[in-house]
Amino acid sequence: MWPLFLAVTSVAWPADDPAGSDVPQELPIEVMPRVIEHVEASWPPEAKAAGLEAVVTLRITLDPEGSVTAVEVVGPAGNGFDEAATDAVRRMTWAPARTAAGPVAVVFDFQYGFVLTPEPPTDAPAPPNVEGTVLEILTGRPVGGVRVQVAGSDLATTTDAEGRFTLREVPTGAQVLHLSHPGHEVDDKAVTVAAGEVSSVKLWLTPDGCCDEEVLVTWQRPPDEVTRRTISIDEVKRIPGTFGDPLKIIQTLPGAARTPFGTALLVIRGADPEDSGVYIDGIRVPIIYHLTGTTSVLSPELIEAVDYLPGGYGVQYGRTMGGTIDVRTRTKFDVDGQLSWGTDILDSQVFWQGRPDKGKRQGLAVGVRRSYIDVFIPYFTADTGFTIKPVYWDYQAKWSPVLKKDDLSVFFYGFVDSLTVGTPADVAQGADQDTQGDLGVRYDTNRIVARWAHPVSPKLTLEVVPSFGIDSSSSGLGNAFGLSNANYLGQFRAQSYWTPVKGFELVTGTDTLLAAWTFEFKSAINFEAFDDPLAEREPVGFDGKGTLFAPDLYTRANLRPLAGTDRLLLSPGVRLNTVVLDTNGGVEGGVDAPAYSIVSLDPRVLGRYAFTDRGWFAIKGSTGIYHQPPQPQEIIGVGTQASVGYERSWSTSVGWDHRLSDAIFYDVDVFYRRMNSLVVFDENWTGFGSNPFVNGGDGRAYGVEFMARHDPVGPFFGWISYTLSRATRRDPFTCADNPSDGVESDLFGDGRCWYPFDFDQRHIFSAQAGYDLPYDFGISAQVQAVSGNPTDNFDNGIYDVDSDFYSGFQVGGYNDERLPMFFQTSLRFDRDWEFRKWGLVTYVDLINAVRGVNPEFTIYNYDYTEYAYVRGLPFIPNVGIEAKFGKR
Amino acid sequence: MIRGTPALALALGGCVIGGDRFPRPRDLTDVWQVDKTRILAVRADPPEVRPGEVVRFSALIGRPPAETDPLSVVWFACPLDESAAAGCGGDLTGVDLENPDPEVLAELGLIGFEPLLPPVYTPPLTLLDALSPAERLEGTYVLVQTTVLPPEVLEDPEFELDPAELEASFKRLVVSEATTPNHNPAFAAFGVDGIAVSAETLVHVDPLQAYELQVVITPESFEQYEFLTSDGVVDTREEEPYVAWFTTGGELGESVTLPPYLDSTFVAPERSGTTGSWYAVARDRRGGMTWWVQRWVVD
Repeated sequence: MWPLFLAVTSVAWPADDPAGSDVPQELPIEVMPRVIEHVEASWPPEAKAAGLEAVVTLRITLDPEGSVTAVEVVGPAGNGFDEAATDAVRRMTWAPARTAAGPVAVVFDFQYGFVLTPEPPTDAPAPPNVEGTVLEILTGRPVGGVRVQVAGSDLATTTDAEGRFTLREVPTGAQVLHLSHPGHEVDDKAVTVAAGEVSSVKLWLTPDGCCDEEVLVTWQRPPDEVTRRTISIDEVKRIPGTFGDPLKIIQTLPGAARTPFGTALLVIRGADPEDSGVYIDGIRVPIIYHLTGTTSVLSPELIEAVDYLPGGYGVQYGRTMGGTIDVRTRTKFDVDGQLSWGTDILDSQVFWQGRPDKGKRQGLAVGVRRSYIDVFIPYFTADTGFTIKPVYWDYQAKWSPVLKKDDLSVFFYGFVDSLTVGTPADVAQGADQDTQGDLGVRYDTNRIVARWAHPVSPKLTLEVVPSFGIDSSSSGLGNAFGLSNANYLGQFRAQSYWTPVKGFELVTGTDTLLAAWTFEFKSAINFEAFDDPLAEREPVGFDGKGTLFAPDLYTRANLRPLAGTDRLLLSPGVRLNTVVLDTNGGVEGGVDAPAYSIVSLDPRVLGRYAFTDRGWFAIKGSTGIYHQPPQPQEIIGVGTQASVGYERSWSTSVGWDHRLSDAIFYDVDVFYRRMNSLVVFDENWTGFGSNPFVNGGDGRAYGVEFMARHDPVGPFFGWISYTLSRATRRDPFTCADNPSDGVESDLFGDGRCWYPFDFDQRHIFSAQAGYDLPYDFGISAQVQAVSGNPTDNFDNGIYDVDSDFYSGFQVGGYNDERLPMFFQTSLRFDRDWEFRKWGLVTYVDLINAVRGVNPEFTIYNYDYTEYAYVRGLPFIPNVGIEAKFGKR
Repeated sequence: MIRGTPALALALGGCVIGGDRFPRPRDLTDVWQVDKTRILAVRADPPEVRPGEVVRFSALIGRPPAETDPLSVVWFACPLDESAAAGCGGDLTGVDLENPDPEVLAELGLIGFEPLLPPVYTPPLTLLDALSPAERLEGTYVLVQTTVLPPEVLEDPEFELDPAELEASFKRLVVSEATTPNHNPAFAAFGVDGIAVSAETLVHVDPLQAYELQVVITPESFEQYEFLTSDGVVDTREEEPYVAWFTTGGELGESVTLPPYLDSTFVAPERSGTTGSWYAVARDRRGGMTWWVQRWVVD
């Protein structure tokens, strides 16, 4: 047996610079040449007889077609090895090197090894006991030529062109594999080798310079992260209309519905916006976008990864029926530090991250952003007397020391949104003196979150995440109403990861929420006056306070029955939800009602099976129960004890994902979610002293999601996603009152009818792509086509002469009509400028470049005899600059 | 770059997808615009009565100058309770409106059919019997429903009404034993650019010129009255009349004005010879109202 080895041993350089001088090249080589079809050299007979070994270093010239045009022996070995290696290399099939502009001719050094192994013993050689594949994180491509060495031993091998490797006679127990490869970060990976078994592992390598700036938007990440569907920050920043914001990309992924322009809503799989949860480092926050809907509440520079889970997520997430988004912030910061500054038509932000103790142990990041729309608006409204002042800003500060074993961080962040609309004194806002005055809305959120993870032993790791936050809001219009609210939130997460044996991991934890809240409502207009314009006004006031304690517990097992590999994963889990509510609210102090509690159990199971070791084709599925406590406004009680319980959904999905090549993959998911006990307004509400909400609604959402993606291999990247879905609901009142409500038949035979959710969108299609042009220019585009949202239909109205308003005659049921389709095309042109100590990106976004009309709402004239559409996204030419100062 | 050029040209060229297909908010008829027959106000005289007192009603119906066909207005009334949630009124088929039987009309709730039968209503003497003495001070409502029928209804007995084209309204008649019952407000004057004009005057305006229309409400219209709050306290309050503006042509700047800004800007139509009317309707928030109609012509 005459094993051979080969490896590219130096970075390639363009063929017109064969000496590999230090002259800077305009376009760096992005993809190294590689062997597609290997040819073994003939061993020189004399050398073989003499038992000689050798390594021949060859300098190979490869043309853009991948043909070998020249081979020079630069490290001869003699004894016929040089000729044999040269002959073999010429007969191999090669993939050419690539720059951003495409394939190029290249010269590189290549080592061909002739290693004489000892004659095999009479017994068969020991079979491999460790095997695996090395893949590149971000692209998922296999990486050939990676040296894989068992730490502390001489056992080593090199991955083949498919990234595969095998190791024999690796000692049993916990081992560390040391990976090294030019162009990737050196890394150590832990593996557990069991006696008598083959340990199959999938190892990920990080490209050099990748992850300081990398944000990975993960689509349906399985619970153990064995498979990642990633969109890098470089791609995100080049999608027009996202304002470089990774969280905006979520709205281009399957299952995410389009929400009206200028709103901060998030709608996943047809659910209501409040049914989806948004987390930052596992801690829930009320919103993820500023109220303009154009910008997320975190600096993009601080985001490490975004987990987008439209359904089928594990038990570590709870209190939601819809989708979940968890934004993970970075914990590693540059040794040399980096200052970044960005500005566009909406806001400006500055961010610094680094290690202030001269690159030693203290990682720190600070950032702040403020909008300046309010600065420009007065120039457009100066003549009208109206004042409109929208303002948003956010801040972040994170400390993360570099520790040997533990992970520790403290994160302090917050965001503020406010809008004030002032009207001239002589312009009436309605016919009521009390509604004259300014309209104002303000939201504040602040959080401090600590995280500590400690490996107690190789088999047990503990993670603790305590947090405290304050959310407050206020709104008002003249004397008509004023509402203020404050929530004090203590959230505590603790998890243990226990791996007693190979292929079995037990995750157990608590997700505990302790909240205290207050609210106050004042109005010069009593509720009776809303229906009766002649009713006498009496100032009304509500105030209330309460506490909520939710000590949820969960446990999940991650089972890998196939020798501990990722080929088969089963993850059953269960979550015990508990909410203890103590409310005290109502008119003039309300009723001090006793606490009440509700309990529910969420069993869930997720599974995934890959048909090959490399996982290029896998099937996946999940099913489980999800409980969601009622919203705060539904449990305040009106002069009595609240009695609303959990909303519940049973969510199931099946699908598969398939990688067709190094660059292309697609995913398909079919989902069905059945909802019941939905909280609805009780139309039989008898007023003060009874509960206005009941658990009386049902709902369902089902559909198919598809995503196909071309990874950023070469100059092109892009993805398309399409969702075909339907989400409908019913409640005990709409159908009973009006048999024409709903367009569907009465499937359950109980006299109630179905109608669409407010954001039920049948077809959601988006496509985005980018292409690298020469001279560091880039172009990208995005197309979105989405069914219009459901809406009501009115035809004519009756005039209430006392109030001077018309009441419309509704035709059909609630959400019986649908707005026209949304269509948007956006373009972006950008150019990178690289300097020694800083870099600059300049860009022009043409958002809604073809000026699609895009109706968002239907409005009617005064008597409902005419209608028109309020148009959404306008044509926005956005010019922006991003600069980064620091080590490049 | 070559691939991007056509798309960029398309974008910058101002191609608007669907731009003409969908109506815009600015295309909707403004509330001040009387471009069809509309009920603009309904007045009860008096607006607040005791049981057994006679009430007479009148409606301000705005019409474009070109519409001169005779109209029929049907009036119904019924005490406002749960049975009247969907309105009151019955089937008039077979009813002899020229020689009406009062008992039949009362059973139907029909209180008027103009021009044949002027609307008159007398609240039943027992209407407040179920209320406590304190509740009687606030009283209860009688729903008064007004419907304008197109001329074809009278000309063709087989004519089928399209509910989507009906002009209908409702108001609340207050029936109480209030110590300070409501009265309708009144206009003291109507002015154009600060000059008072009488209702009979035909105001001449210049094409496309802007004018300030003003009304003056009589001081007596700001009535003081007593209200028993939910705390049992008698609260003395003052009415807050406001004015709604309408025109059959030209443009109005404000459709609703509150004291002390009881004026609206009018821009005259361009075409000379155009005639029209301004309507100003004052409401006192207690069910009382009055109006002013002023005709104009473009010189």
